[in-house]
Amino acid sequence: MHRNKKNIPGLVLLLSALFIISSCQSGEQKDTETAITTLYQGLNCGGNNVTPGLKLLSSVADLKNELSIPLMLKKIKLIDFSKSAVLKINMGQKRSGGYGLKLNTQQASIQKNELTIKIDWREPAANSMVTQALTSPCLYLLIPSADFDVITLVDQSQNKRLQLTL
Amino acid sequence: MPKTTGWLNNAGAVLLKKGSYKVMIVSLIKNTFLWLLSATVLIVLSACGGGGGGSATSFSVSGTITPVSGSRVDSDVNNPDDAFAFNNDFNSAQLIPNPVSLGGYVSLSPTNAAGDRFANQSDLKDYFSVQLAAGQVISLTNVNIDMDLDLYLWDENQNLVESSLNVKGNNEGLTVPGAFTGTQNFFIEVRAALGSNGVSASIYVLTIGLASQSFQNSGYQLSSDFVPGEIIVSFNKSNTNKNLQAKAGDVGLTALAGASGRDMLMRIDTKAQVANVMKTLNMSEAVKSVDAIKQKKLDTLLALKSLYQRDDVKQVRLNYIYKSLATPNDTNYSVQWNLPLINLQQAWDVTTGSSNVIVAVIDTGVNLSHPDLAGKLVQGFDFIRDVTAAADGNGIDNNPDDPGDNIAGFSSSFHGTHVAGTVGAATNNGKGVAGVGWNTRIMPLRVLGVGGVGNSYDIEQAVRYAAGLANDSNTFPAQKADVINLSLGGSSPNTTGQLLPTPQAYIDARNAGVIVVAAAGNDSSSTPLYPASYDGVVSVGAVDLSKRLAPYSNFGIYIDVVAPGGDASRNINGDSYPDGILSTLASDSGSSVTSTYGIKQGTSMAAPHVAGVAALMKAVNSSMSPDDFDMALSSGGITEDLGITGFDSQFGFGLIDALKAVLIAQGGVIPDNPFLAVSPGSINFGSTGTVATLGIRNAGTGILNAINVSENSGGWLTVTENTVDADKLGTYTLTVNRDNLAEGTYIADITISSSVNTVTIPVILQKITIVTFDDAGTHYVLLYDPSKPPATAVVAQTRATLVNGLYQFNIDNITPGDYQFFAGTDLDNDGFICGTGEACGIYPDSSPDQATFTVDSSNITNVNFVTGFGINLTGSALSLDKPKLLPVIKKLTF
Repeated sequence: MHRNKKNIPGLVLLLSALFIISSCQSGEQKDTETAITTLYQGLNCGGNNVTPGLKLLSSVADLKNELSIPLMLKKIKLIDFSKSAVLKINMGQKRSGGYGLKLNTQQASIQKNELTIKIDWREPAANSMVTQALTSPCLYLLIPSADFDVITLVDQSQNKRLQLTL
Repeated sequence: MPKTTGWLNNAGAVLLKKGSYKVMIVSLIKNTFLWLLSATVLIVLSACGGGGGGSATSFSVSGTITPVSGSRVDSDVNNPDDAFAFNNDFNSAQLIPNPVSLGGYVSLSPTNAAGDRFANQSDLKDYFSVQLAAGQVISLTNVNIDMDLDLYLWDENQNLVESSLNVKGNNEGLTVPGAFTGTQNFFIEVRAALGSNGVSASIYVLTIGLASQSFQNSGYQLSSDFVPGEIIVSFNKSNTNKNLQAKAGDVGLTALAGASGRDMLMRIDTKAQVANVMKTLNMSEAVKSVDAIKQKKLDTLLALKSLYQRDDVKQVRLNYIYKSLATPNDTNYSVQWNLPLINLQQAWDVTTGSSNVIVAVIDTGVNLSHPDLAGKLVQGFDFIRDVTAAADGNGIDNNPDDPGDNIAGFSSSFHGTHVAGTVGAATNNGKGVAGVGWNTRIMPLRVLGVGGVGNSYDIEQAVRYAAGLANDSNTFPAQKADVINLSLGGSSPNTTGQLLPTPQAYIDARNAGVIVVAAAGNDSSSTPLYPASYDGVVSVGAVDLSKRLAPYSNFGIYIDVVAPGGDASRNINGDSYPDGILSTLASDSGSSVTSTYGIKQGTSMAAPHVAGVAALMKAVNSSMSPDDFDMALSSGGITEDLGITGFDSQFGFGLIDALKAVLIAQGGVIPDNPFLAVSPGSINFGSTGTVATLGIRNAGTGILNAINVSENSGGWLTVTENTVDADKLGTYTLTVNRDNLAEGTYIADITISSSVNTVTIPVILQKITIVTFDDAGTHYVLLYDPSKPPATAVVAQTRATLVNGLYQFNIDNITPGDYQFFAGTDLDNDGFICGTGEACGIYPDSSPDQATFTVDSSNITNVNFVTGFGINLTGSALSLDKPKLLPVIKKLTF
């Protein structure tokens, strides 16, 4: 096979270009942590839907439509949605009291584009005495912008509760 | 926001997703193959790089905004952009249609703000000329609680016929009086009365003749039944030393009765006293009526308003004349559909309960400082032994105050407060809600701590305390409870299929003469829940507004009775609120616990209805025992039978009936007392409704027959039997046909006569043609980029052009992106649209799934949406955690 020595520099250059291009991408994800804060937590804010779920809110209008409590409106105005988003966690409608959601740790981990958040997913013990009014607990968390496209919720016993793919 | 990544395909090239990249091409490549490969990379890069392509193109968006049908705007609002014409007297009254939803503005003094229409003068009054039918409801919603607006209705000869003069911050409403047919010309006056906290202007919304208004006579109308001239006043503690004559002199009225330290009855008598009242209210012009009685009543209402301003006055009220069917004047009584559902108004005619009867509410504790429970609570106790669960610093203690059961500090349930209010909120005190037991008092006992969870032992100690029995607190109540309410429960691990034996605490309480009531549970199941299913405890299931079993309610052979528990997923009565149970509540969403009101649903809410009725029974028969109550219940004597005749596994012995209950408690035997009841009490088909249902029933006992149903519409209304029994009791279908009607408002009566009484139901409808002249005021259309910080999110703005009742708009030079439109009026010229009482609309639909529309490659036309007036309930917070508010958006200034 005829070798064209003049091609070697070109190959090197092309490979360099390819290398540079691939380096300019987000590239290989490193394990990181990010700080999560609680924006709001309530016992009757999840609506009538019995299905638990996650929802990502990315604008003031989105959040105002969900969380119009006057004391929260001031907080909503301070959120910079170019740097953050709000995650709404809905436990689903429950038939009694004794249920609740709370952020377990403020540090959430990001591994391989998956943001894992630890929460306290509280349910009443079987046969315990509880109030007999319907509730629908929910939790709003403020999440900084970061490299992830899956959000996973893990409870205090390490059970995976909910997941959202963006 | 999360970034995306690229990935390597099988051919070895890197295919990039859209995004920004840095690329370096190091040098030229002479080899053709490599050159082509490089070019390919370049092409791929340019195709993938950047967020929106390369060229700076822009587009236009246009559309039409439709105001809600029947919209009008006051012809003299504060915004100079709005068309202007004074309407401040009879001669300049603004002509408005009926029905109408009108946004307006009034002010007590000049705003002194440059650019305001009313910078240099006040806008004290607005007059409107309108054709009205007798029985129509006129509502004035005042959006600023620091302003007091009053509503007057004058006939075409400028005679005062009705007025609504609530004290500040409250809404006004009145019914057009008279029995005339068709419509007559009237003048409506909206007047700015008083301001406080530096506020002297307000936006208002005036509505006439629209469907499903929740207004109910608040008692401050000329037509209210009160003694003309008389006012009942009580003074603050620091001001109770003076005698009656002295205090009357202080307030400028005539003393009639009462003494220091308690209520005083006074009267407004002389012209000088009236002049003094006017001076206190800063009224420069008197409101005159040719009718002497009406004038006296008007002077009384104004005097009441003037007394309300005084710091030394604790409470001031009219001397109402009570007739049958007592209706409490609590502000939100009209939302409490659950009370008339169990015939409470008729029961209250028999008894309004007794403060000597006590219901123990064993629950999360009670918000002891709630103003609508003031004077209704006796000493209680906290039986939570575990300090962590108690979250109040200690175990068992004598403080049953509910600190909140959500230790994160957000939005605790305050469940016990809600239950307590249903049993015995302060009733007929002119605010808040009414309680089933009216004068009944509450013993708050705390057993549910963090998370609203408790245990059987603590609960049973509370039961023992309530019954005046030995318990772990080593104390006894000054007076034991007559009834215990337990809106709590748990299932059992018992697998034998047998009911659990009743714990001794409940047996002992019963033996002590205490009636024990408990919630049956919300699992839509027949599995027994405890303590409700214990033998000797009254187990209560839940029904909704239509008397159907609530979707969550337990059922089965362990259910004894049902009561209203609500279904908040529906709004059957169209009163703007979910069909749950409204009661006292508290909130810890802020820095401290605040008292409020709220709606909840569940068998927790049903049980206190039965407990409250039992308390009313005890008020008329203090010797009634738990056995007596059980016998009355099982005989069907105190319930409305639902479902299968007699006991059934859905409704037990039926829906608790307060009237039957107090009658049987009073006399031991229910006398035959049939009477005709019809629901709903009025029907408004509005401008589009065509079908409705009327229910006719015997709300008493004995035989009710000779039912005859007739109507006098002249042909546009038809009444047909739907499902009726042999006595013609049941449901009827109402149908209307507008085809042969000219445009206007029509009223007819449906008359239902029986062997005992006759009921008349008014029916109203409107016939309107396609609206071509709606005008809700100048509409500003704002283009909103939600990706920007709020301060810079409004990127463009225009004023819409009103053409034949529709607002048309166009905005040019819009760069590609995702946007929303906000459109609305700015009646008070504060620079913000969509304020409360101003027209407002959003495009696209405000659902998060369609939060924005996209401009990318072409002009967009036919962006069509609607605006309406935003009204919030003033004076109290009614919510299921989050009332829905529209955003307030600042206009761009140029």
